[in-house]
Amino acid sequence: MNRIENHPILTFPERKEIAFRFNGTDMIGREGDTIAAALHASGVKVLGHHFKSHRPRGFYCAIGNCSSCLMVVNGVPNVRVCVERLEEGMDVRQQDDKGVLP
Amino acid sequence: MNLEQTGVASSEHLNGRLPSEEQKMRGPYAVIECFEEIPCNPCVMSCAFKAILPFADINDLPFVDFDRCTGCAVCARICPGLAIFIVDESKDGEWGTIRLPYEYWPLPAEGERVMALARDGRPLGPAAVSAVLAGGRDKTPLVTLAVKKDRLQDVRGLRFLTAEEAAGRYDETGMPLDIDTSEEATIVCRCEGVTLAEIRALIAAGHHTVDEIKHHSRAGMGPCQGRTCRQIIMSELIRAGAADVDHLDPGSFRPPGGTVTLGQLAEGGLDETNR
Repeated sequence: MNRIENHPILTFPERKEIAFRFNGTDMIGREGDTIAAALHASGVKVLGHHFKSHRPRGFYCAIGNCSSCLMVVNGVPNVRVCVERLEEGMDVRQQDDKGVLP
Repeated sequence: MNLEQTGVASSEHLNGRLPSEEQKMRGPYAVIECFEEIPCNPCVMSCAFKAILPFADINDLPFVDFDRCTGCAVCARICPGLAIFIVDESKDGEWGTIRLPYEYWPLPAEGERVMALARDGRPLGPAAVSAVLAGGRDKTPLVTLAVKKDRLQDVRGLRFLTAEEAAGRYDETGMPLDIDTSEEATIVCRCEGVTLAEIRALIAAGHHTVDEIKHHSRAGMGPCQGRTCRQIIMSELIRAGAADVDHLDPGSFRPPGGTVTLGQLAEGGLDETNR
């Protein structure tokens, strides 16, 4: 896990676990996480590959501005996972193309 | 560049905020780098020695009476802006110490070598941690660095050494040597994968507006609609002398200004069914 647990100033209350799937693998996030935060905490650092250059894309702006974190969520492509709240049972898939509408 | 434009103070801003040469020799003292008039006074209220001059108004800026300041660091731990540093250059020899507020975890260990940083975050070189103060009512930890006396007014931050730095593999700016910083590896438009080399080549070929560069390279035509690359392209145009900052055209903005799906456009709003 890659979560901040100790901090000299802040404290972190315990939060409920939320189960979801990433590329078919079961994963656990925490209540209040965005999808990207839950993936980051689970060690997923490559969020996709550019459709032209195929270079890997990581967590970049984290505020829904850039296009680094677009993924297929519950079948819907081009979801900005850095600003999408994680929900129980979500099916999240890496997107390496421009996406196909369901 | 002035403080209002960069947010980074320089030596001229320290005028009137440093002790005299004679006062420096008496012991540690507080340097308060607080330049913005905001309603904030914990430093004044916390000083048991009344060494921070009393405020007539809560928006006043703090100034230190160095004949009273003992360098006790109570103000440095209470300042919410982490703007107070404790400098000690009273010992003989070429070395002094600076105590820096540091609100990250983990804390460095005593004796560990860390990278000393300037006000703008620029690395100034490795420095040894001589003490760490943490815990207590005012939680802000203070990390003490041993610094040569002539750099005591330059060092204002620290970070851990990278693996490259610990192995000595970094250049004079602190950039690790094995990271590719070439134009070809630097992405300007993340959506369409346009590199800095492509943008500079287009500018060199005579395309001197954001729209021309957009039409040729597709930079700005992806899902984020130029929110990452537009400013970078404009700054590249200015840097190349191809555009004048006072008359810079940011290119066309077309609705919708934000990211929406066709479903949202058709339905006229955002709800669970059309997102």
